[in-house]
Amino acid sequence: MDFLQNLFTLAFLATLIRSTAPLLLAALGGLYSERSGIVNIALEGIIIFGALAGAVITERVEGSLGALAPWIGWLGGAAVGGLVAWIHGVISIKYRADQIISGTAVNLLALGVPPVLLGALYNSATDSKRVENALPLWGFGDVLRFSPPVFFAFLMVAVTWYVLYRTPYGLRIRATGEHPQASASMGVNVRRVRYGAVVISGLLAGTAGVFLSIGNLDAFTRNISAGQGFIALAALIFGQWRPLGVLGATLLFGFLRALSIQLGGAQVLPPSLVEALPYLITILALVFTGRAAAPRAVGKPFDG
Amino acid sequence: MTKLNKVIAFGLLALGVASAQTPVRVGMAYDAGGKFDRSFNQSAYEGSQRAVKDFKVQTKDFEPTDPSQVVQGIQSFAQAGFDLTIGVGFNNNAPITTVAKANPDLNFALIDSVSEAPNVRNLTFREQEGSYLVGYLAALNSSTGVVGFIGGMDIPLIHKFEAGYKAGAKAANKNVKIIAQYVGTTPDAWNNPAKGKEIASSMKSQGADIIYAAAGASGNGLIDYIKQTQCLKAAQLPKGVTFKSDNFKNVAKSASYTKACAGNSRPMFFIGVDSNQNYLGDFDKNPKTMNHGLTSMLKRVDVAVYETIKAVNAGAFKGGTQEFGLKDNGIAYALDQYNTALISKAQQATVAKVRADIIAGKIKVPTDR
Repeated sequence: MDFLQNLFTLAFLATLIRSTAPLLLAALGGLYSERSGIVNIALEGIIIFGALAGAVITERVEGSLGALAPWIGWLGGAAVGGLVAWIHGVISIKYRADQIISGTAVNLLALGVPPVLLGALYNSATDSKRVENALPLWGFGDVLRFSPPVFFAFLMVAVTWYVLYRTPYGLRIRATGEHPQASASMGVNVRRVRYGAVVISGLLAGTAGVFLSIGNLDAFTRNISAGQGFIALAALIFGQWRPLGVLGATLLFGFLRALSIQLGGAQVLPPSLVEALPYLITILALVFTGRAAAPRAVGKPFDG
Repeated sequence: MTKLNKVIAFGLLALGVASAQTPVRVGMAYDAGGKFDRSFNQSAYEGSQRAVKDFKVQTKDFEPTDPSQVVQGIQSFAQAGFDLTIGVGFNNNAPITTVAKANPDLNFALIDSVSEAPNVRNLTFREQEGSYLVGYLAALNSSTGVVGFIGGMDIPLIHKFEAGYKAGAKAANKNVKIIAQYVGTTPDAWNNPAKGKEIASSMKSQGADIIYAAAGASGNGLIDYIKQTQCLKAAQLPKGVTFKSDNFKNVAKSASYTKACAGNSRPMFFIGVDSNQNYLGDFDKNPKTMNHGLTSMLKRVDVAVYETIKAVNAGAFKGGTQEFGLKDNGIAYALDQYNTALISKAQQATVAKVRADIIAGKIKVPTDR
């Protein structure tokens, strides 16, 4: 009992929420894109671009804007995420290229571009300069304090649910993902809906990146997302492409990440096993959920 | 001597003259943390820059974005005929050894690891000795009797830090509790400040007020965390942990600290590693108020790099292993304007005695946990 009491502290809860937020943002982004029929495995790369842009823009403008700078950085990071996603959209919607290949190309770009840009700006291949003004922390007490993107992430669950199930736009997104020909015959502009959804996914994944660089730390570091874009994709599948399902799945993965950090010092399990836990559960989760609930037209270019 | 031989001899002579005139070229291959990690790699970088200034050598830096690039980077230095290539970090052992064997006429150096190639100078450190000293200081100054250790990658090299730190802390206070945790098991562990920060928060929730990170750029997460929280409050202590002392009662504190840490609280500190990171604890840009870097375990990678370049420049390079420790000041703990207010004269004297005992062999510092 003592052990459990030591394990589930406020600090643990805070770690859980911080680990969940970026996954949740990226997975909700993926949800928009995939519900409209576009596979977005570029999430990982978009997170990195968003993180990079957020940190660099904040660092560049904080001299003149001070405490306002990280908010501009956030906007910039989200916009860059949207732009990168739009490129993925152009390749896969306009040119009807294989969406997996286009997404992989974005992910590879995300490995190559940061060192070049950081080298040009800061003479380093790995780190951006530390910002003086990171995003502020809001919350209660000393431990449960989070930067605004965290609140934004949880708020977006409700927003996404509402948009998807209670607005005409949401209906169009779902229709183009299930049966694009039928929606086209009803007068829906399938391409435009898909562009919109892909750009939204970029804005959200870019925000996930902004959280990682200036919402949680104060600089961009190489490989800052460390595979979280892929975990978010797994959470999307595990959550059956539904907003609440995605919330549950990302909370589970966040819980496992927090657990691996909390258990790491306790010598209960071998540290390497604790490290592998989130990935192990991801695989099991995928095995048991399968792809039954996938939008029917996901991954297929629209020719109509 | 035939005419052809003369031509060759003359050619070689001309080459010799030419190479004497061109400056010595040094290739620096950094590891995953990158040359501006403010720690291990940066120390090597600073050593090389000092050599550039003093000996007019040329350096070229290579920062791999993933481990598979390392061997290509080192190979390209060798192909371009660099006089000396320095592999910064144990990860460079295999590539340096391979390339050194293929280029026996060139010089190589390797930090933190021992290569079997004869033209490699291996620069290793007795990190456990310095870690013992900072562990000793941590236990002397901890208000809670709980101190933390964050290791980067879970490997024998970092176990040396952990072992020394634990032994030193226990020697200063046999009841001290030490929490040790590693960031990961892959080279990415050197470059994951987000996880370093989460580990620090987990350690604080277990009552740790002084945390030592030997984790490359991941240690920046710890510093960022201390900057954010600054102190440990009585209400945050877990069961069984209480405030036992307050060594910093009389240290002048910044306005932001007094505001954030009103009531029954104790300051938190990090202990830096490799480079002198004390200055990073000066969060309010005023060294006179309390800084949150208790001290740093100095590993003079810069000196090792500088001396090696100096030797090559003087034509006196020799392969083999050179080990640095407390005795030759290759290992030390940092004391400067940022932490003289934190470490009392009495403590300085105690630690000086411990240091002398280690050098004399009276204290045996373990190298494995």
